[in-house]
Amino acid sequence: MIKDNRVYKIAVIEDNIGDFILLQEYLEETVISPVIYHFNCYKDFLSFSEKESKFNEIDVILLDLSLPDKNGEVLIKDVLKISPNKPVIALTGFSDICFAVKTLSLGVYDYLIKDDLTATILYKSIIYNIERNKNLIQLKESEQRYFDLFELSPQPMFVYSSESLNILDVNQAAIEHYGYSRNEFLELKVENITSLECNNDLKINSLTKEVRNAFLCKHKTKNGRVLTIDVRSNEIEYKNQKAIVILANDITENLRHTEAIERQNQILKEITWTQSHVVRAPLARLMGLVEILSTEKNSESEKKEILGYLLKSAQDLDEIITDIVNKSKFVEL
Amino acid sequence: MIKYELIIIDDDVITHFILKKMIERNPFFPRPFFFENAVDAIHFLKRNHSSKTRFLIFLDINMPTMSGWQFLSEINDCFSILNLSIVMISSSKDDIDISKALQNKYVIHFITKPLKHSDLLIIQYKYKDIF
Repeated sequence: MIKDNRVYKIAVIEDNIGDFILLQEYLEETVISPVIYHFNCYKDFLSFSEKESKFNEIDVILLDLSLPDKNGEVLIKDVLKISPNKPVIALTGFSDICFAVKTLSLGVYDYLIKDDLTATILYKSIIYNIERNKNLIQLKESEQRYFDLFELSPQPMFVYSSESLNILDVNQAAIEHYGYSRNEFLELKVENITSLECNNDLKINSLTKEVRNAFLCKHKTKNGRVLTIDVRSNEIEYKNQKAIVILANDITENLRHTEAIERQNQILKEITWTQSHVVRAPLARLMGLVEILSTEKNSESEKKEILGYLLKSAQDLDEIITDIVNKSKFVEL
Repeated sequence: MIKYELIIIDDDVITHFILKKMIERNPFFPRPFFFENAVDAIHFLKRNHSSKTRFLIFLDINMPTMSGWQFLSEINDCFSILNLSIVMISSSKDDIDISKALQNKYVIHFITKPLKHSDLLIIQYKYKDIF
């Protein structure tokens, strides 16, 4: 028989010395150089995991389900807890076969019946579970990456059910921005964060099933602050139900800024209008009067009348300029 | 026999004086009727209009009771453009006002105050072109 020449580091937690020797023999039959760490009880394994850096190199754990200091379900849970991401294979006798099956649901990768054990079965179980574990770890990492994209997104994100409109998930930024805790959020429906000040158009858009991909909406935070939100949404499948994921970009500040600029613009327009109409009115009169005075033949009484109008127009102009100066003083304050 | 009437609508009496003096010197223009209030001018127009009367109106934009713009919308479609021509007169040099005024079917010219002799000559030629 051809032996596997890869190096396997195997932890065996087994108090029965006879069983351990048998396992050791089986392993040596199929693997050229197995590195075996033997523990007689749970406590030894625990302290090894805490103190030895070699623990991290272990590829697979063979676990007898009845140890002197711990056994059964508690044992399995504790072993899985201290060795996450490592395949654990349970070893059990015939009498425990029902329980052995149950161990799989607890997170054990595989179980082996000691009485049926052969070198081949043991070897196959070990390499199968090591490989399966590699794939599982990759899958978990990929899930984590995508979860992080949602959870750590700097912009608030929500997932809500298309049918019930219940909020199903929120990210950290949403919690910080809206002031609700995660649990509070999960009790809410979309309409609870959609402000009543929302105009009807906006509200319909955010509530109908026919969701458009981008629209503006008013949202309300827990403390009642109303935000203008640029919403981007998409349909997704979330935990087996149809859902909508939305990215909520708070543009309240930007809008306020724009409005301030627009207000200033309006004031400037008003100043321009004043310059154009009010200031120019008495000035145009002055110019017209001077024109008549210089080109027309005027009687003495008309000249007197014109001079009176000239003075009146000059006074009007003076009044308007004083008024503008006073107004600009007010603006500076 | 066609009768020509000149009407001046401006809330400012000094402007009335200036226009009166200017117009006196140009024999083309008849003796004007002056109104300080556009509402009175509308009453006058309605009382005196006939198919044989042609009105030329100098209309100020900025007036307290009824602005020149309100006057334009009040008289809209009440008169044929053959019977009524309007020259807008404003203190402003606002391009928006000018283009808005010239879009009106009655308006034949826009003048920025102060009125000059050359303005009267231009109005005279434009007015002649119409008839």
